[in-house]
Amino acid sequence: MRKLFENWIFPVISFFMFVSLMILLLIDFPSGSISIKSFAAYTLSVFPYTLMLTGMFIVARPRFIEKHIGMPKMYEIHAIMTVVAFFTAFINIALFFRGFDQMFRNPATIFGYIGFLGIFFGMLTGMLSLSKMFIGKNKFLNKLKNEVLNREVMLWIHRISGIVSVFGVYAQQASLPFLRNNIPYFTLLTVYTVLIMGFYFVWKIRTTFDKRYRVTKIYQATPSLWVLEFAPINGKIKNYEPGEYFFIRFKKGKITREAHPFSTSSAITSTHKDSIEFMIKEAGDWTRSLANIKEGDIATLEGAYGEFYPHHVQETEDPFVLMGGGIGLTPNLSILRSEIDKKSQRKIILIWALSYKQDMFMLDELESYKKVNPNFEYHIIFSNEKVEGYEFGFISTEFLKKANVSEVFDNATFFICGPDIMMESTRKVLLSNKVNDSRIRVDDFGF
Amino acid sequence: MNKSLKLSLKFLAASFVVLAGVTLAFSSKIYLPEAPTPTSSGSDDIAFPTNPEFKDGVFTGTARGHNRGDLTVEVTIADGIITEVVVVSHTETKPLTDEAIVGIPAAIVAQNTYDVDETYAGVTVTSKAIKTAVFNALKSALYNYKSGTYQGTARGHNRGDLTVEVTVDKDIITAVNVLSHTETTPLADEALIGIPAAIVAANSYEIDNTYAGATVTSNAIKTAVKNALNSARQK
Repeated sequence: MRKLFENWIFPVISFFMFVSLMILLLIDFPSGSISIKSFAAYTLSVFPYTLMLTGMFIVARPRFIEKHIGMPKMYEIHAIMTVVAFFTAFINIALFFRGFDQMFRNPATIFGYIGFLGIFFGMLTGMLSLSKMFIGKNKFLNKLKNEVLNREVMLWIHRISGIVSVFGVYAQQASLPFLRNNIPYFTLLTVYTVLIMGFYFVWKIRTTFDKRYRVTKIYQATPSLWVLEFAPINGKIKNYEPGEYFFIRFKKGKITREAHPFSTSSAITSTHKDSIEFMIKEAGDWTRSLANIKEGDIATLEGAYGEFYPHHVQETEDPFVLMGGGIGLTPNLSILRSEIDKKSQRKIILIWALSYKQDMFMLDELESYKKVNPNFEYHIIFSNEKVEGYEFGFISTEFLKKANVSEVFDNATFFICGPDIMMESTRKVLLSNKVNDSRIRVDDFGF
Repeated sequence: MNKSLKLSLKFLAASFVVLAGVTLAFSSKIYLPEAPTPTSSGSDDIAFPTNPEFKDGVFTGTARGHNRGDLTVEVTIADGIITEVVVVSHTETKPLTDEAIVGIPAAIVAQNTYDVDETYAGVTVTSKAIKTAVFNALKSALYNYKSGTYQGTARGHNRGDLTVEVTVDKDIITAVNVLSHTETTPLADEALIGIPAAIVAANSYEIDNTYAGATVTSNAIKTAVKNALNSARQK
């Protein structure tokens, strides 16, 4: 049922808008009065428009839906809908194309083509530099994405294209007298457009003028890992649950103004009641620019998003197995810190998979938790370097047995966060040990 | 299969179902054209331009209907687009033709052309008469010249070509520029400036002005403008 909701909530919104608009558009036509060609023109204009409108709704990151389906799924649906919008609009263009000289024959065709170009560039920029869904493991496309195309520029083209596509198609409909004069149809079209674009622009304005935070602490915990702490300039910190994430957008400092999502490593506890901590691994231009950030720089934190640690799980007394791959420790650490702060005595096993010894840090903190909760234990495994006193290899059934995880396969909740391949293989190991899928929580961060 | 691809295919299938559902729900309103309708619908004096440019206003057109009576329409053009078509009088058989008398004008407005596929079964003659009447109304709505910039050439004084560029906007000649020539300067200079200015002022190439000592040049410019306007002609 949950999966059904995740996959279909946005398509259903889009289909609902489409069907309601088509009813109002066609209801007054006399029987047998519309040629199949005219019908195709109406359908293939309205359908991609409702898909693009829904796409704009998704990119405004509606938290009341995100909490239930997660950001990666939202962006996946957004990408699919944009591609389908492009192809349906393309069929429309192909059916009615009468030559390039006819493209500008009246305002309706001009706006129609503007809308189509908006969809096209929105799709292209999304495919090439924003979504990993289409690029996959293709080396050339990955190189293009990471080394040639500037993500921030592509993001701006993507956003503007989305707005242009909606504006273009709406203006096209408004340019056609028979549509403009169909009051019920045009009113509903306007209502949908204003509601969704209004929601988008309000979100945009809110993120621009969001509460400002000051960097109160920044240091490198390992050669490739930064720890940042933010405190609000005025008032209290935003409320958030352990394991949730924020989009960090620096307003001041030598770093681009693009927002990037990061999980909190802190939780609202006695040590972090007035500040929020993030652990960020250097993995790209933006994260490398963190070297330019200094204490006192200003940022906004948009969110919180995510549902890694929902209330119904928090309220149980079941054991927890926190499984982090590299920087994937972060949301698990947030949960762990929250549990320790609550003086929870539940059984908690932390599994931390690292590549090299130099990635290991904060052992003192982990050791100190054992004193607060004697049922807490942690196990570290290295995959690329043999380190004395620690396991070598990947997370496997044998390793989980050694780490006492096999004792709690039946009743524990498992939290997995890390690189895609680590999350996928760990999940498979758990499922092969008959762990109920509903007890596995994966923090997919790939968007 | 890749999860995203699977979801994409499911979404495509769902989209198809929704589109097919809407088509099915409104199938009674849709028809498949049996044969293409004549494009000129009875016109005999002009070939209708492919990308016509209309004057704003209300224009009347008439065509012979089913019962040997005239069917008259009023076509309203605003901002160059057909915004309204009303059948103001006819002698067609009611109520048989009622749907066509509403449906055909609606289709013409929707598609901004008299050349629509819509034809109502049993009332083919009425359907065609409406389109023909609209066609006749649109003929009088056409500008003489299509807006744009056009070039024309004529033979000048020294056996060389003289080429002009003429800009027309809604039947108004807004600019005439001599682009190239082989005339003798400075003798022809006054004509090269004065004749284009006089054509713009008179909004016609049919002007009496000629310059002494540059008569051939003066006439060459007028002929080149005439040739340019011929390629701009809509009627």
